[in-house]
Amino acid sequence: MKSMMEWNRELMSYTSGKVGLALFIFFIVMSIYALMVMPPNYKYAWNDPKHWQGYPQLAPPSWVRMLGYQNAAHESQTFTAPTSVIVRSGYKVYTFSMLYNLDVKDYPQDIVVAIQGLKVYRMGNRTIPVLIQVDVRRPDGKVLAAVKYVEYFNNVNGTKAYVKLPLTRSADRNLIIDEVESKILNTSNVLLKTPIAVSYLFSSFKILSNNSVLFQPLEGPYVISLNFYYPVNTPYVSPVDKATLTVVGDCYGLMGTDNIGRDLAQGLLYGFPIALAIGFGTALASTFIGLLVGAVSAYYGGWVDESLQRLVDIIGNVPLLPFLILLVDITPVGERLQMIMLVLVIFGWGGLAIVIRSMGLSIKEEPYIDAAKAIGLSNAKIIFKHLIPQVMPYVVASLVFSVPGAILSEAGLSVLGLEHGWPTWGRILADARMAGRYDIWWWILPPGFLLALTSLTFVLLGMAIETIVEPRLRTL
Amino acid sequence: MGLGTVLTRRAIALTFALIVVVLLTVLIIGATGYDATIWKAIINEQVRAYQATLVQKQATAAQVQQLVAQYRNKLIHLYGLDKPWYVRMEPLLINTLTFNLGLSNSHDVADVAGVPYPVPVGTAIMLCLPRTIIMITIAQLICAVVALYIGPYIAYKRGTLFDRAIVSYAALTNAIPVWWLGMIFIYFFGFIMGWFPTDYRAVVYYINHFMDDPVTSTQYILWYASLPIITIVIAFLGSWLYSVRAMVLRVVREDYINAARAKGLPESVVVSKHVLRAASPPVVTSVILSLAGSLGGYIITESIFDWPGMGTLYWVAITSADVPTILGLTYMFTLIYILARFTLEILYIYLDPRVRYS
Repeated sequence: MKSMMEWNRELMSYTSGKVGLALFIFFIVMSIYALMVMPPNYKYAWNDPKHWQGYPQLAPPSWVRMLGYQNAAHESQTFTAPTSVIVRSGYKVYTFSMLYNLDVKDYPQDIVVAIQGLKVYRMGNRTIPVLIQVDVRRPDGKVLAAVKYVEYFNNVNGTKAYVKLPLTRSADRNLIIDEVESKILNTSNVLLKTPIAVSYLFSSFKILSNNSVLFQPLEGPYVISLNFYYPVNTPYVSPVDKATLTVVGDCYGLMGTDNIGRDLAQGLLYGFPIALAIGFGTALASTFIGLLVGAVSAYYGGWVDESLQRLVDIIGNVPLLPFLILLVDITPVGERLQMIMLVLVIFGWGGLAIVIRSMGLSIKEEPYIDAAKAIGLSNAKIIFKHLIPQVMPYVVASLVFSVPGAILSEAGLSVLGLEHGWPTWGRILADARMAGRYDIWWWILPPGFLLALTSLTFVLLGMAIETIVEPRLRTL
Repeated sequence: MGLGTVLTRRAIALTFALIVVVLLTVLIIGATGYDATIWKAIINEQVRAYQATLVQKQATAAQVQQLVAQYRNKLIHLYGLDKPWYVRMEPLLINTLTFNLGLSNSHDVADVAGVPYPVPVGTAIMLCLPRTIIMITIAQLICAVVALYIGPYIAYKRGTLFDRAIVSYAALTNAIPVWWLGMIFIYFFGFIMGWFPTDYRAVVYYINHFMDDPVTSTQYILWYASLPIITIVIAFLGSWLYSVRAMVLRVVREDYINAARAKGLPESVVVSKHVLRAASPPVVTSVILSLAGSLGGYIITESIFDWPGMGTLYWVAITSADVPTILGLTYMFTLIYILARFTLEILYIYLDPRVRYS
């Protein structure tokens, strides 16, 4: 048997081995990194639209801006202390403000605030309601309100509200229409559309003769401020533990977002460990069974061999994909991923068993096996110490080749429409397919590319290992 | 052992495997309570309809209750839900094995077949099989023919730029899932360029009404089938070329090829009489098995193109929980594969002398 070092050196002597090994290390590093940063219960967060409220929908990656695309930037700022505290018309106003620069001909998708640990002010037994307002100061000097919300603290006992889950509010479209009509257009006799109201916050306007409104992006610096109106004698330094102000842009992160705002970079990242777990789990188990059955079948012969061969015959004739689909379909959603792996293991070891058996048949005739028998070694020991090590290099190559199979099966089943709840590459593709958005390239291309890269990695690695263990192949 | 005995033994083993696969399917459907859930839903539906007619006939509440209970029990007995699953499954197993595939109880299955509901499972399969042949079998056939022509040539040009290009192409397309390629092609060539259709279900009309106007139908069928065929050929040609090349290379290195050359045989004779002859068993195996496999349809790829073939039929049967169609198709998939395997056993007698004389 060769040592790890020798193996490594030989692997590195082939181009395909080098590339395969490099890609393999890349996959391992990505998986470990994903496991380290993946929050617990991420599976549920991924499927919960509420979790993705502060994200733009169907937004391309941020870097498209550098390619000259006109997509409004996405900006988010988190505060723990107010930027200013003033007393105005009988209120103490705590203000958190951020600057947003609109530098392209495009509109941001939304303005969202998330408030955590909002202080409850009481007078005697009564809680005093607090007005929460988000104002947008535009480059033209106009100030429009995007959110107006009064929190009454009904049923709140402690000194703070929204400690665990934040209070989330996004721009109120009806309010924006009112504001635009009264503060900019000075008339309500025009046609403004509610669904695109957020765009009006960032627009310059022109009223046409038929009372419709022509609007286009108003570029320049905007000041977005989140204001809390408390009674004058409030003692707090900050009315909240944490406040996050987000101008939801029209592009996001490294890989963009999908139709419910999910950050695809996260989904793709967490796809790494899941893919490797599916691939390796299935490959290891089926290779192990195939090796064992093949070795036992060859060594014992007789009725053991005959019955195992019949078994191999049957699983070899099973229409695998239809069976897989049927079995996964009748499994509850939460256990489907495990079911995919189980089915692929149960029906996946036949091919290897046949090869190992034929190799084992010739090894069995070697004199050292007879010698081992003569000195009274048990059958199990002979199989494990003398037969299996001989076929091991071939088994390793076969293991590596079989890793992508399960990953691709999982992806295929997801795309077909069999949900399993985990954020995998196949699942991301499936979502794009269900939404019918083949045109969103940042949604369709990266997951498929990663799937292809996975196959390529293990094929290259497998080919290099095969060449090492089977020198006859070197001239191929 | 004589040749006849060997073949008989193989035939028995394959038939046994076939029966076990059908038995397994029945087991999955029956033992998990899958079919019981479906029957219960159907019974509830029928009972509700019956109740509605009774109320219309202005029967009293007590009468309705009694009659509905009677009707429900009758249905439960009729569908065999009062018996354990293995008793219920027995006729299903026998009927399937004797090609008595029964009637599909899904509207979706009839929809894919393109005929009015209810459709016999056998009819649905016979309607979908040609469509799968048009798309997938033809694509595989194109791959096979091209690979058989070019493969040996590449093997001879081993190490050249052309050879390396083909090997890289094979590695690349082997890695790309064909259904993903399909998604991208539909978008790019269908939606953006407008060269090919984007909705493929309509092909049903031209295939089912082929005889009305064969010329126009052929044109339309070709137009519909072209992008799926192109996708499959691009995705699989690489693997085909690579494996034919590898099979030929394995033979080319053998000593008897050198011997043939050494005794002065012209290269063309060496190739046709020695190389191709010896490489034929594995090549024929892979051709026959992939053509047989293609008849079952590529469930995911057909679903991406919404192509109404065997694969889509199976997927629709699964989503509408149509037990007769699921069973019938599983039986067909296995039967086709096993027949192909047996055909190979017979072909090997001609192709591989070692089989004949061992």
